[in-house]
Amino acid sequence: MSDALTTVKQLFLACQTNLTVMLAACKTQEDHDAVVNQYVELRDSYYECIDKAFKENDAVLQVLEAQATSVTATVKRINTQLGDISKVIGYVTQAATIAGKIAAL
Amino acid sequence: MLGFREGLRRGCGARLALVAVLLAGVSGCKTQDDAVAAAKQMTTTAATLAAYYQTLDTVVGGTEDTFDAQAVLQGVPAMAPKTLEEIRAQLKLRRELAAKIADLASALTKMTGSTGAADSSKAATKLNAEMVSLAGKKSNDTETKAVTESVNLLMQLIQQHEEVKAAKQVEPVTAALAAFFQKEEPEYDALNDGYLTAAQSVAKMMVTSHQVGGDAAFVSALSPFGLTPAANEKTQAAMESQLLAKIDAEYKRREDEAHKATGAMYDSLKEMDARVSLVTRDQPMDIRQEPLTLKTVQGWIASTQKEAP
Repeated sequence: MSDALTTVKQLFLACQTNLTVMLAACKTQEDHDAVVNQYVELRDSYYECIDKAFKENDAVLQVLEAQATSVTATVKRINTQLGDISKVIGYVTQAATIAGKIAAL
Repeated sequence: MLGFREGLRRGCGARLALVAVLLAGVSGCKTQDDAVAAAKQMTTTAATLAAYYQTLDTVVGGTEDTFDAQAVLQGVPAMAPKTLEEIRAQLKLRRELAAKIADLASALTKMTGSTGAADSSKAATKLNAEMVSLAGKKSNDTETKAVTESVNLLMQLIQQHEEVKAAKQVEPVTAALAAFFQKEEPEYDALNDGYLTAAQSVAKMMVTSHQVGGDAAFVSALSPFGLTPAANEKTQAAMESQLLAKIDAEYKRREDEAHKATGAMYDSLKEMDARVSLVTRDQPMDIRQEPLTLKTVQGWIASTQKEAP
């Protein structure tokens, strides 16, 4: 976790937990608005930090996706090759059978 | 002196048997079972990972609803949807990555379930049967069996070799995926914590302002008589401390459950990587069952999705 998210998380969760008590303690509308503004700023920062951390990993995510796609294609190719080996043995069988029959004539 | 066909038959069978025995001495057949187990685990892990991200999306949806409820109750402005929408878009990208891993697992499963060895073995049986028939020998000739088994073993060894080759390609992906998830674990936990804390705050406010019925506590006493409770405000006030304690206890339980699920998802990804790595090194896989950590993740997914609106 980034240091920014660690800090914002502690502040936001504390503020969210005590929001009702803090708002109830406000004597004036001004105090109330100040608490609400602070809370909203913390809340937005908290989710922006999470979003930013995700976006910072975009490049890694894209590389991983490309890697997974490429390896899937390779595994499929190996699968096809395995099938081909099996087919070759089948062809040899047929060829040998025909050759054997011709030789028996 | 042996005839041409008899010589061919005996020579072919003997050579195949010899090669197969020599190859079998170099490498056993356990790799295939391990590769099957690794592919199976990869399939389940990829599906669980996709469901994990889908559940996080549900959590973010719940967060949005909770902030809306808070706005109504406390006059705090609801959250602008942009950031949460962007987070949901990021979670979608991660679900797509999980889908790619599922595709890879599917290709591996096809490979480990290949019938190449059996097909070749059948072909070899047919070949030998034809040759035996041409030579006028009995069909249960011991060499028929030898040729069949040799081809089968050879194909298995080829498949095994290819599985190790494939696993070597897959291993960097599984390692990178585990590292990627680990890096983002704090953000995943932060999404859960943000939701639960906001929900706890709203729930407590509803209870203290007596807007939550305590009817559930009276169901057992009234149900034998076919009656349904309708707790009045006085009763709700009397139940306040009980309900607040319940909210705190449930908050703690859910927080633990969510954190454990995230940790368990990482452990499952790490285990998947470790098992693929064993296949690449042709080392024995002691445990082939799905890791128990996947059950922890699936439990959290089930309980969270069940309660989703």
